[in-house]
Amino acid sequence: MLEVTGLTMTFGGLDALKNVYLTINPREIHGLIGPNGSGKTTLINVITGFYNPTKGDIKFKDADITGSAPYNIAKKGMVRTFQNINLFAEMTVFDNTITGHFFRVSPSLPSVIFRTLPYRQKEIRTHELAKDVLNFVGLYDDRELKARNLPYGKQRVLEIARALMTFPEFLVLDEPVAGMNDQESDKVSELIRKLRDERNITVLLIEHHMRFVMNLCEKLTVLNAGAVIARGLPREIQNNQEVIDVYLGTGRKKNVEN
Amino acid sequence: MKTKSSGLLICIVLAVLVIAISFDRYITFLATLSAINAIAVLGIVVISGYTGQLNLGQSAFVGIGAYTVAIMGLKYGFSFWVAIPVAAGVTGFFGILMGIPALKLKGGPYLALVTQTFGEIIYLAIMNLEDFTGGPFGMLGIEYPKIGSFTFSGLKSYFYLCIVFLVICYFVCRRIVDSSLGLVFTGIRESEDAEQSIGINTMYYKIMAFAIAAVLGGIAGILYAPFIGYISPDQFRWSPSLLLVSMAIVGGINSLRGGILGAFVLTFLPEMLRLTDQYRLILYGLLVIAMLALLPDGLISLYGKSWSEVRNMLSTRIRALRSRKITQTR
Repeated sequence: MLEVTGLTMTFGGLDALKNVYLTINPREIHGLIGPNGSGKTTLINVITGFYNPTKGDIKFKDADITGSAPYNIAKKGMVRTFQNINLFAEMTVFDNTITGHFFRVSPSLPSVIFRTLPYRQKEIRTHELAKDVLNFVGLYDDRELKARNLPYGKQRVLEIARALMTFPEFLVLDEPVAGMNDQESDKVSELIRKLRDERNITVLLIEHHMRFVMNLCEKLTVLNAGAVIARGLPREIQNNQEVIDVYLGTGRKKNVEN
Repeated sequence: MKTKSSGLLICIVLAVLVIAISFDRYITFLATLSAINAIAVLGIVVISGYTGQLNLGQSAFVGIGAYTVAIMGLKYGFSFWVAIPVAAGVTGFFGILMGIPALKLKGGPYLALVTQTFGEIIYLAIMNLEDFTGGPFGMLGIEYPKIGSFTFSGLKSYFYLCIVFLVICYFVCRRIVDSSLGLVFTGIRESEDAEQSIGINTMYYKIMAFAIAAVLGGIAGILYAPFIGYISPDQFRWSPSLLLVSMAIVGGINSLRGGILGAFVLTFLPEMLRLTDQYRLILYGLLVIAMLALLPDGLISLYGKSWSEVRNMLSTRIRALRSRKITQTR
């Protein structure tokens, strides 16, 4: 589904990404881990079109998307969430969710002004979809609240809800459970698994919560200082000495379930 | 959708206006001017309020609308009504042109610069295309619109004409901003990156918002030309643009009704106070500062609130200002 080859990203004198190779298969839940500053978010920004790579290619569904604009990549089915929550703060939860479906409807200006029948029908359908998605993620009761008034954990879930409204094939989640306790992160874990099982969505996620990562992800890629230092199954990664040295640490093994 | 309550409010306000204008020709004049300004301010609300793109060139579009009507009428003998779609097309086109350099700009100061410069270029174009526009001498004797044998030359009849236009423009804008398209515009203000990540081409919609604002400015210009009768380039330079933005800020830049309120307040107030030109500018400046500091959502944010709520709002705001915790004006 996603193939990254030889990706290098240089900012001024700094090599944020060095010759990164990454392959993600359909219906995979893939984790991207590594210490802070290792280039995880940069990699995501490049893949989703927010940066243009200095070198290398990105192929999504066998089509080259290197250098495409983020909205074009989203239209092709790859949608991302942000590390620093990027909701429409002044809008309600419900309105935030609706925007996610907009590009699938893309009404023309005259149809909006004259409220044509097809336009009204599409708006009704979008509203129905939004209700379904909000119910699915458990935010339906909060739908009239302003996004900025939601507690942090729910804001993160709302971003996922908004992304779901695009009917994505590939979700890229940047720290979806940051700041959440075990209970909340377990719910998100369940949600992501459901998305893959019921809606065939492939997932790439960045996370630091090892329990969450090791339980959910089927394959891992580990980055350090812009380069891939390991890739494989969670069990292998946990036992990889280099990964332990730069990131996991020896204490970690006790907290991670097998 | 708040269309029901705004419908009631509009009816009440219109009734008040209709009664007021029967008393005094001066009030009728001011009310008509307010309505014309209000249409241009609706444009500001759409582009600067909802879409968050500061626009200091709105009066250039008013000028383009005014000159289109004047040139088509005086030079080619076209009627007022035929000039409307032409003026809308021309201003829309220039609105798109203004939007293009603004696409990559993030931040008020840059937009202010680009939009104001654009306005200045339009001013210079009008000044210099003397054969076409009469240059610095302006154009005189623009005709009133007619329907059949009836001419809108009376002060009261022209007032009603402008109100009709204002109401139509208001409801068109209402439909735009209350739809998912309105959410897209707000999304551009809130977070362009987030909008791009959900498949929306923000550049296309930014330009659309500029075009909508420009057309509204143009419509105001179409009504302005016959009303004042004489148009010249300096009537459409950056100073009236600032005034239009001030009206939006005072009334409530994120609200269509606020924009209309601001237009009426800032048209009537300086006249009622019998202020001369320099003192007017001081008044506008003070009001804008006061609004941004105390009531960032404008006068319209007082609507529907009880005195205690208003007191609470203000004291919270003043406290925040005192402790210097505010980093944005909203």
